[in-house]
Parts: sequence; C-alpha cells; structure tokens
Amino acid sequence: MRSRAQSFWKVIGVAGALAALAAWPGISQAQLGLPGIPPLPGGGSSGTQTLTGQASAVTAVVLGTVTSLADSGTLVDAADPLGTGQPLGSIPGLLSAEALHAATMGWSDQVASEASLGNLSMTVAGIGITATTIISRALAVSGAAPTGLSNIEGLTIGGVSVSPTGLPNQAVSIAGLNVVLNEQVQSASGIVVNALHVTDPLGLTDVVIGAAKAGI
Amino acid sequence: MRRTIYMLFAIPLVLAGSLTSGPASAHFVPAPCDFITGGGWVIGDSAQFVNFGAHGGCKNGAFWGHVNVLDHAYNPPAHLRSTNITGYLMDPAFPNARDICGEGVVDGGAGSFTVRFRVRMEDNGEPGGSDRFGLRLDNGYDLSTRELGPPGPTGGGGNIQLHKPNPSTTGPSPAPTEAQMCGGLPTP
Repeated sequence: MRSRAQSFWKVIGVAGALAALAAWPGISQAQLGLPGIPPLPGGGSSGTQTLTGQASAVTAVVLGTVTSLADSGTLVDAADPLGTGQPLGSIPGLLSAEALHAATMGWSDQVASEASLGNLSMTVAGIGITATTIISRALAVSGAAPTGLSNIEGLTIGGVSVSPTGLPNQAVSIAGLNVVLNEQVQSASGIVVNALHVTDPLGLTDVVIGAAKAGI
Repeated sequence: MRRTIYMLFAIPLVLAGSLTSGPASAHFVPAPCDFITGGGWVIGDSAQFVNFGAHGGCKNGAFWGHVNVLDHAYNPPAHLRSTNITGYLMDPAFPNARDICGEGVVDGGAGSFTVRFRVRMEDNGEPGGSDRFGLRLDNGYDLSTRELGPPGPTGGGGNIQLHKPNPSTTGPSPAPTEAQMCGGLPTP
C-alpha cells in the first residue's frame, strides 16, 4: 500500500522547484518546497494542451524520507484517468487514516483531481492532529482561472478545535507547529491544492494531507 | 474469527436485505459514460461512523474505479476494499446518482472474506451536505443511501462529484445488463 520513492521525489522536487521558480517568481521558498505534489510546469505556448494532474491522500517527508499513501500517479493522457485507494493507511510514528482515495482525470479542455481520507490521527513534534474528513480538489479549465477547494471537518490541533474559514491559505500556528489549511498555489497553467499542510518548527517533518494538482 | 466477522455483517441486516431484495429497477450504463468521485462519512444505523472514499466510471471499454469503506459498528472496524469493478450504472429516477458494482474483500482485522458490493453515490451540488452515499453487500449488509451532511450526530460529511464524460469514458460494448454488472444486488 505504501510506496517509498525517496530518490525519485528528490529528483522531482528539485526539478519542480526550479520550474516553479521560473513560473512563479513571487512565491516563497517554503511554498516551493511543498512535499505533496510536484509544482506545475510553466504555461506552454506550443498550441497543444498539456495536461497535468495528480492527487495523493498523504505525502510526508520525515528526516528526508518521503512516504506517500494513495497516490494516483501523474496524469499524462486524457484517455487514461488514474485513481487509487486503500481502506487503511499509516505511517508508523506519524499518522493513521481511513478510506484513502485519490483520482485524477483529464478532458480535452480541463483536468480535475481529488484526494480524500477519513479519521485522520497524526502526531507531529508531539502535537496531536485529528480530523474527521479531509478532501482536496483541483480543477483547471482551459481559458479560465484554475480553482481549488478543501473540505476539512472535525479538525483539532493539540486538542483545540480549529474551524476552517474556507479561504485559501489559512495559516494556523499552534504549539510551534506551522499549519496551513486549504493551501493553494496557483499559476497561469494550473493549481496545487493541499488541504492540510503541517511543518514542524525544526523542519524535520513536512506533511501534506489531501493534495490535488490540476493544470492545462 | 472470520466467521464472527462475517456474521457481524450478516445477522443484523439479513432481514432488511430480504425485505428489499425484490426485482431491481432498470438501471443502465450511462451513455455517454462518465465518472463519479468522492469521500466522506455517514452515520450508520447504530450511530456509528462509516467512512468512505471511492471513484468509478468507464474507461476505454471497461469499468474502472476503487471503493473503500470502513464501518465502525464492528471491533475492529470492518473495511471493504474493492478488487474488481464490474459495473457502473445510472438510475433514471436519480440522474445525479451513479452506482458502482464490483467484487471486494471485507476485512475485520483477523480474517477476511470476499463479497459482491453495490455502492450508490449521488452528487447534489456543493458543498456536499446534500450528496448521498449507500452500500449494499451480497451477505445482507445494507447501509441505505443517506445524506452526507450536515455534520453532526444525524449527519455526516464529505463531498461527491459527478464528472462529465471524456474521450476515455467508454464502457463495454455491448453494455452488460444490470444483473450481469451487479449480480442481482439492488441499489442500497
């Protein structure tokens, strides 16, 4: 169920960061380092539509080791939608979740990606994080601004209930943890949506719950 | 233990299954075919959480998808994992709904058994509270189709999305019958 692809993601991460740096000069270094989904490539001008899509229920970087749960893989063709799921998922010492699911699909004029899980129980730097349901969605339609949304229900951090505003990039800092709800990174060619992005203050743990990417 | 888990699923609901397992109405593969995706939770008949994550549809002349469901009425929770998708249907009475049929494994931790299943997912708009989910297994288990929300003891949460067709969403030709796709399991 669980795949480890440290080397692959390192390569992807470095390449993606460079691509993002060229595409989005305004975004921060922290955003470039999103572990969930590689950044989108810059918008093309070749006249042919390039589809990009991917979704994953969990992607965690702990001490440099990347672990993904329910990762759809990368969409390369509108004729080949991708999806995966698993009833239970866990990363020992970090988290457990149920009913994980991820899918990405393309059309000639759009890409849609979605990831979800339930009953999340996670501990980062000794701080407990729980949620009933987490869903992220990304939609890129040719000729229109890409859109994304996250559903986060029953979220607690350190035993404190946290209410999502629904707005993109809601930052929460509790007990030293940096948490972003409904994190959205947009470019001219698409969007990456991370429903819940948690990093510890020392940078040892970087977890994205519910990542969805769509670009065209 | 395997038998115990099976019976936990079967006994409480076998009567409900027998009362509702009459002839199924005419459901069919949508034309053109499409996709449905979603995740969330509903409250089961014992006030327990039932978590789900699923997607299904047609893909290049076949059916496609994954279905995962966890029912916390059992200890340890019983979970269904699809192993084969055998059908994707629409109900003309509920045009926003799609049924995913298939084969899967129910595992309660100590043992497992295979089942046929039929899931109903219904997209009734955003943010998802009016969306609906249900599950029926061929051992008599029946989680009748119910709304995802609003969050709380009488509801659930999550979101279901019905996606438009694309060039890949072609089903088998000729389209199989409902009985062939779902093995006689009616809609939950």
